[in-house]
Amino acid sequence: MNRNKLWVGLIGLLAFVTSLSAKDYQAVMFGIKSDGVTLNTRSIQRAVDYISEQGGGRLVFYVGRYLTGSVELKSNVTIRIEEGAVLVASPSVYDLKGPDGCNALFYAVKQKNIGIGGKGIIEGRSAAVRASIEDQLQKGHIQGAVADYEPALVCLEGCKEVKIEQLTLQDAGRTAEVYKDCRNVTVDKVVVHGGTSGQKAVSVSGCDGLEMTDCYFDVEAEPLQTDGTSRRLSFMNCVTPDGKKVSCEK
Amino acid sequence: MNRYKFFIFCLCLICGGHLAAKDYYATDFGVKADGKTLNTNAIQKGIDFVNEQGGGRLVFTAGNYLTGSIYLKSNVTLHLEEGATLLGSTNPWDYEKDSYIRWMAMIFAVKQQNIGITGKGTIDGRGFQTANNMIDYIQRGIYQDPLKLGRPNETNRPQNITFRECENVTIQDITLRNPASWNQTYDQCKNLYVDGIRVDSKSYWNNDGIDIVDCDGVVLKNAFIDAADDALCFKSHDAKSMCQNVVVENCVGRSSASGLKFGTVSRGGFRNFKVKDIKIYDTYRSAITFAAVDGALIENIEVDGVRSIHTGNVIYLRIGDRWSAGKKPVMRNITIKNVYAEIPMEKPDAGYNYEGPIEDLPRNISPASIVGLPEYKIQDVTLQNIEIVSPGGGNAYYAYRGLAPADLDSIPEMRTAYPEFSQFKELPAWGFYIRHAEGITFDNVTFKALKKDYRPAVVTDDAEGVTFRNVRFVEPESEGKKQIFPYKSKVVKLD
Repeated sequence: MNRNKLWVGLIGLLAFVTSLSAKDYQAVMFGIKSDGVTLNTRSIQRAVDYISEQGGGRLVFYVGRYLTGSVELKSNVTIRIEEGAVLVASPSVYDLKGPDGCNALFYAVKQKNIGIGGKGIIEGRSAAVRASIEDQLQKGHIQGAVADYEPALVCLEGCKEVKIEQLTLQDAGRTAEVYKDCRNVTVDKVVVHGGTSGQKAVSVSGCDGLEMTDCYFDVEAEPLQTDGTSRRLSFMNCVTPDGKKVSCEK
Repeated sequence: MNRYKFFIFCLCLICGGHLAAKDYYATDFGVKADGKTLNTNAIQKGIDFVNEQGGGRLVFTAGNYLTGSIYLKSNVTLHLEEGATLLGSTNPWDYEKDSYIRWMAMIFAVKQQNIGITGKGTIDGRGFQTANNMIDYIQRGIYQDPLKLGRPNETNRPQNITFRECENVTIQDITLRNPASWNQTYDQCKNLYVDGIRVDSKSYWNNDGIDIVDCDGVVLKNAFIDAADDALCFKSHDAKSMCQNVVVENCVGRSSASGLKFGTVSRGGFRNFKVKDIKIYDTYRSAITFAAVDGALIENIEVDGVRSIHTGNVIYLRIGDRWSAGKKPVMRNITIKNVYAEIPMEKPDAGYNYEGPIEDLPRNISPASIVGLPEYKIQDVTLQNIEIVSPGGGNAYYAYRGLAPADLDSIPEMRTAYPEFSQFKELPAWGFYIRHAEGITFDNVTFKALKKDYRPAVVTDDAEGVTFRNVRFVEPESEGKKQIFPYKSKVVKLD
């Protein structure tokens, strides 16, 4: 009887180990909770670090709401947000960080071969986040302006071989996607809903090779911000709610 | 004559004596109300004892009673006084996975008669912790489960109540909270009476409100149900059985799935239902979903009195062909009347625990729908005295489905898919979409859109005998717009 149990245990352990060596990693394996209440920042970060250390793979989020603060992407890791899954921003200013002046829910600096994809959603909860920032500014616990803290949903700096696909990005506190000094970025079938935040959809600067296809930008402001420092930018079939095509030619 | 009276008197005495069952106190069996002592075996002893004595109530006075799986026996009622809580153990090992039912539960009953759970007390499964403890066991490899979608299979998480093949069941006044799986299932029971229950069921995935499966003779009334999954849910697991002769009255439901639902498992069928006065609010999917996707017969259903407030969709009737195994699905003779529905632009269940998954995007606001299959049409549906207020505002650049034959034919049949109102993604109407149906009557119905929509209000496709009597359309900036678009259909409009 005990021996049987041992066998079951060993087989289970073996199954566990082999599943870890696969390229896809379930979020639940890292203790990440889909209840919309548990703050998962550290668990998600640990998962990204772990997958990167193992040589890369996809961190897969299935249906559910995953509350998180800022997470730093690492080389060879793809965040896979399946249909029905929502990564939800924590409303505390203290859960947010990012590269200099670019707080973001997902950020990366000088990483390569990274991505975010799936039919899921990244939700910025701009009003709740702004309320936290304003409250803490007013109490003098942080200094500066609201805009210094408001997070993008994706902010990538100096990254190479980036793939963002199929996502819905909504309710960001600043420009939803920020690409700075990146090379070979493809953005496909991404929907940006700005709500009433008045923010832009995409900001591109200093990039070399960025291709955006079949995107839909539902934002109150001009959707695109470019400063003329990028080359090889292309926007194919990216439209706004009134049917206007988005392009970088001004 | 006198002798006859005496006989009746004796009979009354016997029956009366039986009804005024004897009370036994759980604490007399060493059951502790401290919320720490695991009482499973002591409570079971209490149940067995009362059963052996010929029946009665096992009474729990105020306090917290920690327990794992217990089995209710014939002629025993668990009576939970106000302030008494049956507290589920958070250790999955404390629960049986019943070998016959193949589910886990806190309170089981299998093939028992005259049983009940009553009183103003509470059953609290503490399911979030139990489910997560189960995940730990699975990850350590000491329990086998594929962790599909990152969760243990729903049969590997305890329900609060699971009764199977029982007769004369009374569930009254209790509060049910926090199951780890479905909440309460009554499967193949006869004469089930559920009155005045309160349900708070949104502590983990698949938290339904109540599941009534293949039962015959059901009264469900005065329930308040707040659930992460379907609220008032009728199922048919067995192709040879049926949910039938059912009265649902004066119930309130909130759900991150559907309010009143037939299915999803729908093998045998649903027959002779009378549903009166239900209120559905903050509900993510449909107030009413009737699904015959596994070969079910659905007939003689009357729903009278629905308020569907801040709910994503009002009516979704669907025939599919998922697990039918050759059985032919039928849906006919359905009346839905006296309905007022308001559909919000934003997510109806935002902020509730375990919100419904956002899916089938991009899609503008979805219409109510009646969708059969080409060879299995939905028949004889009457929709009477109905007002549906929809946000409208459908934007063709975000999602588009036009009225050209190629557009309408491009809507997939989705025979084997899970039936949800959003499953077809963008639909060509903002109010009502009908496909593969015959004998659909709209009588005194108002469709109201708050913003101009690129789509017409109603589209019918392969529908015969659709009658619009006294139907009104309200949509801003849309004077002269043709609001009914028939395609391959025979439609009559009477005013």
